[in-house]
Amino acid sequence: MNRSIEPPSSQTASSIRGLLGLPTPVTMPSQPFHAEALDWAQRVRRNNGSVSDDTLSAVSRFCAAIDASGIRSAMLRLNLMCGADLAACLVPLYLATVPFALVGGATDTNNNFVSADYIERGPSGGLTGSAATVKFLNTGTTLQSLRSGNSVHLSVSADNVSGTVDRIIIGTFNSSGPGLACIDENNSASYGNNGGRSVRLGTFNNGVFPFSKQFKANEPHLIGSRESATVCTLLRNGQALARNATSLSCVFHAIPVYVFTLNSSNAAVTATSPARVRGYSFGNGLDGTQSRLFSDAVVAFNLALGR
Amino acid sequence: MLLRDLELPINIATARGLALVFSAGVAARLAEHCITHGSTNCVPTPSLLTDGRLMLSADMLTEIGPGGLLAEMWAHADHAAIGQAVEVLPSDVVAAMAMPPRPMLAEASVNDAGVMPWEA
Repeated sequence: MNRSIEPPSSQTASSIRGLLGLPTPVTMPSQPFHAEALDWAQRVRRNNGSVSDDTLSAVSRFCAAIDASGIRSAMLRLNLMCGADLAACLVPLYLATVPFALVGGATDTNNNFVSADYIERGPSGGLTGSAATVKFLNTGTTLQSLRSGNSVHLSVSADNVSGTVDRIIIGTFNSSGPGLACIDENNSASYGNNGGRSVRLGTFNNGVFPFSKQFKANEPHLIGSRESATVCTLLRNGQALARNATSLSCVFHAIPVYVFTLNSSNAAVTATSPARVRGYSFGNGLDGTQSRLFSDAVVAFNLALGR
Repeated sequence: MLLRDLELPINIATARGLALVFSAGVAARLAEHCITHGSTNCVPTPSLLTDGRLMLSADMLTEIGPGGLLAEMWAHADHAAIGQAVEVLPSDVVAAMAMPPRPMLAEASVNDAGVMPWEA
């Protein structure tokens, strides 16, 4: 909708004369979309992908919600995994940057996914992994841009998630305990007979990291967050599931974060999760309120896409 | 069956029931070809089999047609050479030849004290 700039009602058009004569209404182009959503759409097109106006509107509302929540600066990288095709799905909405430079990949590197693995909308919406064939995303981004090993979060929205097999949905690892950062679906036979969901952000005293035996196939939004030297929390849809203490900082190293599996020291990937991922993020730690607002925005976005 | 004997284009359902198997030498040439003509939108990443060969799911073949994510790589490939260098096998047969997955974390067990080995 165009807007016109009209003269104040106390003055009549005939009483106003400028250098060019009588004033003329100036039409302004409509600006319905958030600037970061428009930037993302432009990057999608540069990646030979496409995005509908409906999706752009939903992304724009998501950006506005994140801004209003005050958590934008906590996001190092975030991909809503949307757009009309796989090329669009690989373009993150938020990218890590330092002055004059991009940190990490401009897009997620796709290892073995094909177009048929991605559906944007509906109950089957998202990028579907495989346990039979190795398929994963390389974000090309490490956690090294984060300032403190005591402030970090990982998050994922996914369906078809198990609690009875041992897989990792997002993570990075440098072969040393303090360098582990992941969210996993694990079975009861490993990790101290947990089974269900867990987040590992560094090393924990007695190996007891935050976990929950509650598991659901559909996880609208799981967040693992460390906000201090002593507290790490696993949250589901903004609600705390489990919280554990550790005095050992998470170490940020040069191994990029993978999605659908753990990047274990850049070794060849041999197993991936068949989860259907609808989005991921990582960045600075989030408190309870921030986590809830973040999850509200993620859930609302996926609802807009019918997934 | 060799790849040259497979009727293309192939639909996704058929493709997912098949696997492409090839030598390490072919895998190396594939990696070089991907650097020259590929993109990060689809990087064929073969998995190692127990006999030393490598495999990809045949669903990758759904991306070689016009507009596909691998169309550029396919357009610049030596189809005759690939056709006789790549074997096409049922995916369940190849699954039996797959290397067992590494435990997600090397320290997969908790000792009696409930302490993960890296914390001992």
